[in-house]
Amino acid sequence: MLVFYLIMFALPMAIIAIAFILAYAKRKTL
Amino acid sequence: MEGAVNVQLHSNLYSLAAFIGYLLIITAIGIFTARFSSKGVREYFIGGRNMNRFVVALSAVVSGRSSWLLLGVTGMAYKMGPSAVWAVVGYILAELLLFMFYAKRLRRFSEQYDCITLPDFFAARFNDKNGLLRLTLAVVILIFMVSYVSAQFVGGGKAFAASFHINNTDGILITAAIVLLYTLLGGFLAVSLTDMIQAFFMIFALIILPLIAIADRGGLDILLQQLRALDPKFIDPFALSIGTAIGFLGIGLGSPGNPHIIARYMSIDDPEQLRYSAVVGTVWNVLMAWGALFIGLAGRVFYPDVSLLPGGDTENLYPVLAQQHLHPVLFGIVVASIFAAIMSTADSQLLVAASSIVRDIYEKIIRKGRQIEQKKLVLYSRLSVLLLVVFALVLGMLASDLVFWLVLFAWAGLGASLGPTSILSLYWKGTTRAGIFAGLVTGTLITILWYNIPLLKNTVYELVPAFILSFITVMVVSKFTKGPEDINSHFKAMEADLSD
Repeated sequence: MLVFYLIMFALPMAIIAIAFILAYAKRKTL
Repeated sequence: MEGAVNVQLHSNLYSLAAFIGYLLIITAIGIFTARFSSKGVREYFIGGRNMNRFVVALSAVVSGRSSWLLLGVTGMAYKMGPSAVWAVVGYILAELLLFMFYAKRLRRFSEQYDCITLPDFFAARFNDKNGLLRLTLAVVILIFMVSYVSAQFVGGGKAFAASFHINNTDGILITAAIVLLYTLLGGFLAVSLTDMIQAFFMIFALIILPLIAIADRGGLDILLQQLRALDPKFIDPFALSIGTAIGFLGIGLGSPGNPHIIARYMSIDDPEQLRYSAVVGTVWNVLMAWGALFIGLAGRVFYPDVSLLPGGDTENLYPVLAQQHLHPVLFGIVVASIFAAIMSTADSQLLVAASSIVRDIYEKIIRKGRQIEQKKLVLYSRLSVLLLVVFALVLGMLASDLVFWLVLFAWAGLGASLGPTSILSLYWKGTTRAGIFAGLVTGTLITILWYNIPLLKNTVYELVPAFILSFITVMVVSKFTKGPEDINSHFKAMEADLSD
């Protein structure tokens, strides 16, 4: 059940967090 | 949607009013944007490169999601359980990366070299003086886009037929007429604005339906217990083979090669704002996808056996579940969301096909780039949209087998041929024109071959090997051939603000 919660709830939040970090963390443009 | 006999929108005035309200909004947008789009082909085909970051985000995301998300992914989650999640993770991550990196370089280059179509980009990037590369790309895009549009019309027709109890042909004609009206009048601006409205319909329906359905069942814990009792695989996100998982994740490789998605990137007013679009687009993609997955899971509890669904078809789960759990007005919105998904994809594909005819074939190849009055070009563009709709209708009604065959290969074929070639053109100075030709041929051929050899087809989705082999082919052939001389100025145009 833990795996279900991780994939169905934590994963989408992690993807959105990655989007925020990629977009707004200070970095050089690829 | 075949056999969706339970979906009876026509019998309820509230639902019908919600649905008609939706149609009125998108038609009004077409009418109000007609003047802007009449200015010239830049306005008609990429909104004058003046599109707002929020509109670009939603338009790019919903143009890529046809009814596959609402009817296909919900059905997949119903059949497989949460392991269907891997079918959405790949494209969501791929599109995030495209927004962040690929789109920015493409947008900057497009402005510098006045590109409004993908063949425009390749022609400028590889000094395609004789027009052969442009013509090849324009023809390939035209064939696949028209097939796509045709399939969307057929899908819309079935949905109309099921919702309003009219025959399929009338349904197809109504779908085509609506898309034709606002696309012909308002061009890219109308398509993008209607996409934005449609994105709201889709996300609303995809969030509200699973929430209400799960609540009706007594909450998530009870739903999960019932799913486990039916079959433990219905709560196991890893109940799939490695080949299937790779194939699912590989769906995302199609995004950089589908020109109706890429055209959105070229239309943004400020390329720096693409990072905002990346966040909005990803949030939208995630919410819509996970909504579709939870609809599939909830549906399995309500209809434990597929024979309980109309026609025994999992694609009917979404409208049927909505009809049984939502207020008629909300049900009207759900039905509207199916049309939204279909139309937001068809309109973008229609416009890309028209741009191949007018910009690539007529303006750049037949008239060899000579000055043509913009009003005349817009008129030709509108005529092309009209002709393409008629052609797509004829194709859908008379040659549905051919359409089915072409659409089967469209996402993978375009992804495997245009994906690696466009990525390498943007990122590798060593890419040559010969390499691009070789990559286009390899990507297309491997896609078709892989699909038709059962032993290979059963291992992994054809897009994955075709994409990899096409990528390698471009690199190998480019190593042995000569690239364009002004490559440094090309890359300078793409990397305009590398130092920020």
